[in-house]
Amino acid sequence: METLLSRGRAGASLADVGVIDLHGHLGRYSFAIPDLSAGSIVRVLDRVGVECVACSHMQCMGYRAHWANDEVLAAMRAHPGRILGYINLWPASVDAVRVEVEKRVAQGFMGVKLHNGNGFTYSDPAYAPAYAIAHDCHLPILFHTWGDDPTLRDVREIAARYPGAPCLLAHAGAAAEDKYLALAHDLPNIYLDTALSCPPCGLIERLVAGAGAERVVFGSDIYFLSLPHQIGKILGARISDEEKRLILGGNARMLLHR
Amino acid sequence: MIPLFDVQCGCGGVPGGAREALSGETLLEEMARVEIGRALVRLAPAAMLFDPIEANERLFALGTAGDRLVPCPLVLPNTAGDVGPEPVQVEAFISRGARAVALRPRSDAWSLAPWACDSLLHALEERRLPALCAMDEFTLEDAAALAGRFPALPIILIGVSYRAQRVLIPLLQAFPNTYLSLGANYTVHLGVEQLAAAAGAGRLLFGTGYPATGMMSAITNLLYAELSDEEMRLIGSGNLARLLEGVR
Repeated sequence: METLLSRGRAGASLADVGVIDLHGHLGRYSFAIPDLSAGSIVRVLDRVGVECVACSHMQCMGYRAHWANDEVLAAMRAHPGRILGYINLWPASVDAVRVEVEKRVAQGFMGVKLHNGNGFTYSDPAYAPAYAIAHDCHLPILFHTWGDDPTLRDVREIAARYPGAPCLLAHAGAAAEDKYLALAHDLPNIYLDTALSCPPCGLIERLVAGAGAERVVFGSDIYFLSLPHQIGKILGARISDEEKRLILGGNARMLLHR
Repeated sequence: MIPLFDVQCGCGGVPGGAREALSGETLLEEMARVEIGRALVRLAPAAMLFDPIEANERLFALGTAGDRLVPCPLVLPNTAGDVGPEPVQVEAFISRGARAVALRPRSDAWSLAPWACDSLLHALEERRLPALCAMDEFTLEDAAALAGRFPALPIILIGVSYRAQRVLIPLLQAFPNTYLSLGANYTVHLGVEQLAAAAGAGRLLFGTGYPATGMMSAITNLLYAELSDEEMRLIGSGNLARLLEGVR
């Protein structure tokens, strides 16, 4: 019987599965990535059989948010429906954030990506308009996380205050698995993203057991990481194919209203 | 179906927090589930393996399950006279079925300085016994230095980071006796394709990183790559089989 595991083992296309990747990137980073073109991402999507990927710019850790968002917009327009856009934000001021979010939502961006490696916590007041708009419009917010208490505490408060905003926790289980599971248990708008370069054995199984498959979403971190590599842990997990389909695309489809 | 021979794999050690060692049966069951035919096996996880001689005995005790498991024991220089002459160690390993060895200079407290380890490396090179160099024990520069001093010794790099592409490409090009495991932590966007073009598919080896991580990511990373069927077969199993058959 053909299963998602056997299809991955054969390198067979997943085109009929409706895979949606909720964690991708465009732009240069400090280490070498062999092909930085948006077209190379689409080539990989086609090869694996992934419908689309939601990308933010690598400058989610930097201050050139306008330029970064323009770069993502160009990729969205070059590859409509295949590359979706997260808004990058630099918390210069409340007004600056509001203006940038409103402008990018009007341009078709589907969510917000925040990274606290920029020196500002997620509770910084300048981000408030982004959270309010995400709440009102049900836009996903992808938060970079790595299991540390201050970050998860911030996300808990934001998710509780803005229940209309789906809050995606990137790299769930990178550390402190139990804290991610507690967040998902306590708050219905928390989702656990699977992007991780070297996930410990059984991580996906534990996330599903602790949070439910409907709260886990596939994120590859392409092209920071390899999408073909990242999808393997979902296809190979010891969970049902029904649960895998939710993680690979079913949950994302619901979040994106596609 | 592309046959797979895992170069970066282990069992027999105790995972963190577990109360039992990871058994050979568990490894074989997982290999069967994802259709990996053979594996070069070290004792892993290695966190509590303070006695390399005992670790090797436990490794050989796992058996070979037909020829599905190929032992890869730890080898040390006999500079302190405590582990036996290097050629004797190597001969004993090969006679017990080993077709590669693992080097752990940091964990086993020996030096990569030529005056402290060349006797060991000479013994390995003499038998063409591939040497696994993991990145928690070596830098890429350390491994390259060994490859340069012992050009007939196959050096297999494992645990290389996805951030190392700028170093990996010139390393593989400069040292033709180096080989790269594509197992954890190598997850590079179109990286396998770039390495195959730059150094040749013959220098890349399928590896998983099990049990530190699952097996399936390495499988999909290879099988969804933009490579020919022939290249996938070389990387999947052909290159490693050829290296192990070269042991004298």
